[in-house]
Amino acid sequence: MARTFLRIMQVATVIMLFSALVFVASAFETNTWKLDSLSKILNALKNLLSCVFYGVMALSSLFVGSVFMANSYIYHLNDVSEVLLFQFLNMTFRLTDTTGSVVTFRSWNDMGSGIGDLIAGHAVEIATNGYFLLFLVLIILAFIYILLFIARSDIKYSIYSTLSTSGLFIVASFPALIQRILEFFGVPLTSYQWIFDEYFPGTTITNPAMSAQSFTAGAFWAAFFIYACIEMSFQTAYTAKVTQPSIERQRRLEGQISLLGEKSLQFELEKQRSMREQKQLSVEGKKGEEEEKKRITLKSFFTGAGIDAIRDLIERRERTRERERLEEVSSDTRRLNTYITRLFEINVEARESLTAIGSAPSQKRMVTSTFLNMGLRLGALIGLVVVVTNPILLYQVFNVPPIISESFDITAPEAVITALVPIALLFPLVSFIIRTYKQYKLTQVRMQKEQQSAMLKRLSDLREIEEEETVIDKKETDAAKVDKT
Amino acid sequence: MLGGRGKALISIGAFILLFGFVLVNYYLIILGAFLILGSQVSSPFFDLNINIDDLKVSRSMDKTKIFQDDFLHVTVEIKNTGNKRFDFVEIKDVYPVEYFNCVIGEPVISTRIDPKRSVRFSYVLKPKIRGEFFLGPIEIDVKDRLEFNDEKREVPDSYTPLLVYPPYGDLRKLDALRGRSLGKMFGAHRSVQVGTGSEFHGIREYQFGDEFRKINWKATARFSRIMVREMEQEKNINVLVVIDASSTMGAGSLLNTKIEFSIRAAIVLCKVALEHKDIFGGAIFQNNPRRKEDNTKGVKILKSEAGDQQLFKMLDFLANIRTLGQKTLGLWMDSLVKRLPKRHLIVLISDLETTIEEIKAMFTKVRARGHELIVISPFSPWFEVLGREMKPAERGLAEAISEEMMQHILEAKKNAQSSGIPIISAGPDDIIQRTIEEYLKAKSKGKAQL
Repeated sequence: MARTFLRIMQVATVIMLFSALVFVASAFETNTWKLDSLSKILNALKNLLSCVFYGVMALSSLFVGSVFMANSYIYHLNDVSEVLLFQFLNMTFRLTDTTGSVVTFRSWNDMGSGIGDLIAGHAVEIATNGYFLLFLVLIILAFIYILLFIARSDIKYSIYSTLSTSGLFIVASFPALIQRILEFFGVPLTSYQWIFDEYFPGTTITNPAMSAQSFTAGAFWAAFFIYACIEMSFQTAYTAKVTQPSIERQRRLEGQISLLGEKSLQFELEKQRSMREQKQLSVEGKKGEEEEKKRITLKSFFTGAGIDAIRDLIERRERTRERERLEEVSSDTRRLNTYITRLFEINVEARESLTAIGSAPSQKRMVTSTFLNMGLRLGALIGLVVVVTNPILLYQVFNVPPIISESFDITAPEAVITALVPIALLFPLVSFIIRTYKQYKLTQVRMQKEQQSAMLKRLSDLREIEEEETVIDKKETDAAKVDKT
Repeated sequence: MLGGRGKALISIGAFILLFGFVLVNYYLIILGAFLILGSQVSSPFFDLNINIDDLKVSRSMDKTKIFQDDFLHVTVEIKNTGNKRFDFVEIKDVYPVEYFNCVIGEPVISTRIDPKRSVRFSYVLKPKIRGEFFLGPIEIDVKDRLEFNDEKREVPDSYTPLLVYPPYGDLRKLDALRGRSLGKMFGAHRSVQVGTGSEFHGIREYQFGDEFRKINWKATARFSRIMVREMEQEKNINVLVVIDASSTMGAGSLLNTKIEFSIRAAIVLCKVALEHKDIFGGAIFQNNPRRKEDNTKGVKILKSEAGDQQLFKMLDFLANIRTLGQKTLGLWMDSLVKRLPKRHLIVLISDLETTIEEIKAMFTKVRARGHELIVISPFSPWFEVLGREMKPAERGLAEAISEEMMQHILEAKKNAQSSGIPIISAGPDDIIQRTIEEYLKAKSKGKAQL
């Protein structure tokens, strides 16, 4: 059930993103979405490179020609060579302008006047289409990140997806920002307006007025769905974090235990086999080996076979060490297996606690609480954002004097700050007051406990003293009785 | 308190809001407001509902004393005693990772705890080395569902002591090898005293002064000479295993120090002594710089006794040795021999990394009191390079140090020869075997008999 719930949440997250994108897309002019921008960029890039190579080839031939200038015969053939050169270049490179018409150059003068414009035209084509391509890239990124979030349940991907979606607005607002900056510095609008009209047409966003009607505007719902997507992804991550570890832990532990059993059995069999092999080695065989070793050692003094013998000894020692290491590992594995088997026999709850299966929360309660929590949060947030984006409502409630409320343009975006800052600070303030109060209560309880324990200690000390005195009195009385008798 | 995720969301919100103002974009302004308020709105409710003191966390272990090669099952239980639900609780039981391996399970859990419910998780640890350790603390991190707010706390008094004895594996091996190679050590090296006792030793010719009741009449009739029965009894010896716990004994990698191998050798020696019904005890040589007025003069003794219980006392005694301080072998030995009431066979395990004069002084002190001494010297370079991949330069340096150390040990051996004290150099592979061999050799020679 947990897995199903997780899947439902993930699908809901994707739906939220789609809804957000629908509202975001509706905010842009339709000609913002230029699907052929990538092919245009590639085409312009190809043409630009052709122009560059054309120019380089022409210039290099000019250089080669100037080396042979001294030769009068070649000098007289200059015009002929120029015609031949450009014919050759026109045949090799196919130059086109931004509209797609083929351009040819016939002389040095022709090339000098035309190639610069051609290159500039292609560069502008790349820049303009690059700008429009950014929108498509951001939308694709938003999708990729949300898919990554579904696959990995990592909230950073949902945040990246949100940032990519917000990036659409940021990119779209840049031409307007540049216009504002230029306007600020006193550059007349007529001198640069044509650039935006010609190269960045239709990127203006349908920006709704920031007023009480904003609740019904696309901007509000676009922002809401983007936020809801984040909220949903966080809730999904929470569900995964709370339910998955116990399932994965159980799977891991079962795997470990079964592997432990297998390996333990394997090591046990290997041990028995090696013991059998050792038994099979006869005493005579061992003696023979020792004699052989001695023979080699003695022979080594005279024949130089000592190096082989030493190498053999080192190798044998290495093998022994390796075998010992393996034996140690196998012994550890077998012992661990025995320990776990015995632990499960003695402690019936051990398996449950090792897998922490009991830690998985009740599914029904979790589903209910998730939807309830999300509903409450989103409802409260919608209300708060409506208040923040329409500060006039707040002014009316708190009877803000006109001298303040009319001191700035209430429809200006900055007016949001006057409501957002106090409301945003209110929550941490309330939180701080609650924490301080709780701390105060806790300190009081601790002090009370300390006082009680001190009092109890004092009482027990007094009782001890009293008991000691009683014992002494009794002894004295007994001694007096003995004396009397 | 606002957690990492909450702070991140506020930062992103502020960033988007700023862009919204700069670009005069209402979409971004509203989104910024959503993000900032969304991360803040639940914080008062979190602080109001969550009372971390309602979580009662406890740790239990299946034992508090284990052998180094044994396993430990640790269980942590968390109970929500309050009436509010904890949406997200992360509990981590901290253990010293450099000294323990978690072989099964995990010491951490992320869960949700409903009111009046409890959650339990456990894991299995395997110690890497012996010593006295503390498991803990238990760390609790309570968060809200979206992890915008969190509160961390360390559970008070959540440390549990754990004593790890040296590995039992050596003793187990000893048991397994009984009757085979190492088993030769059992029973074949008795230190006997002929003349007294109740075990039959042999028959010999009567000598003047022999008791008449010992005459064996059957043998007398057969040999036509007066023959007597000769009885024998096995003599026990007093063994004291002394471990030098100065700082030089702890050099090298954590698992391959000389002190670790020395302790293992000492435990096996005690086990063998126990099998031979000898009386054995232990002593630790250590100068603690913190204890300025040390009445014991840096010598800690476990009095020699016989019996199975003594082995466990010895394990306890050696379990929490930590290497510390300078080496003063002469002073230590002087203090030790003065406190020993009877003759002992002292088996000292020390790397002897001190001056020759100091070593000589130690020999003099031992001999003056009539004790027997065997020195097992773990050869430092063999321990410090164990399991290490060395570069050529390091290898050269190690060889030079080895050469110097060898010269030092040879000089010490030369001085020891005149006092009849054996100094045995040992490496990690053979230190246990060499210690046992030397003990059995000494025993068969009848050294330090009671």
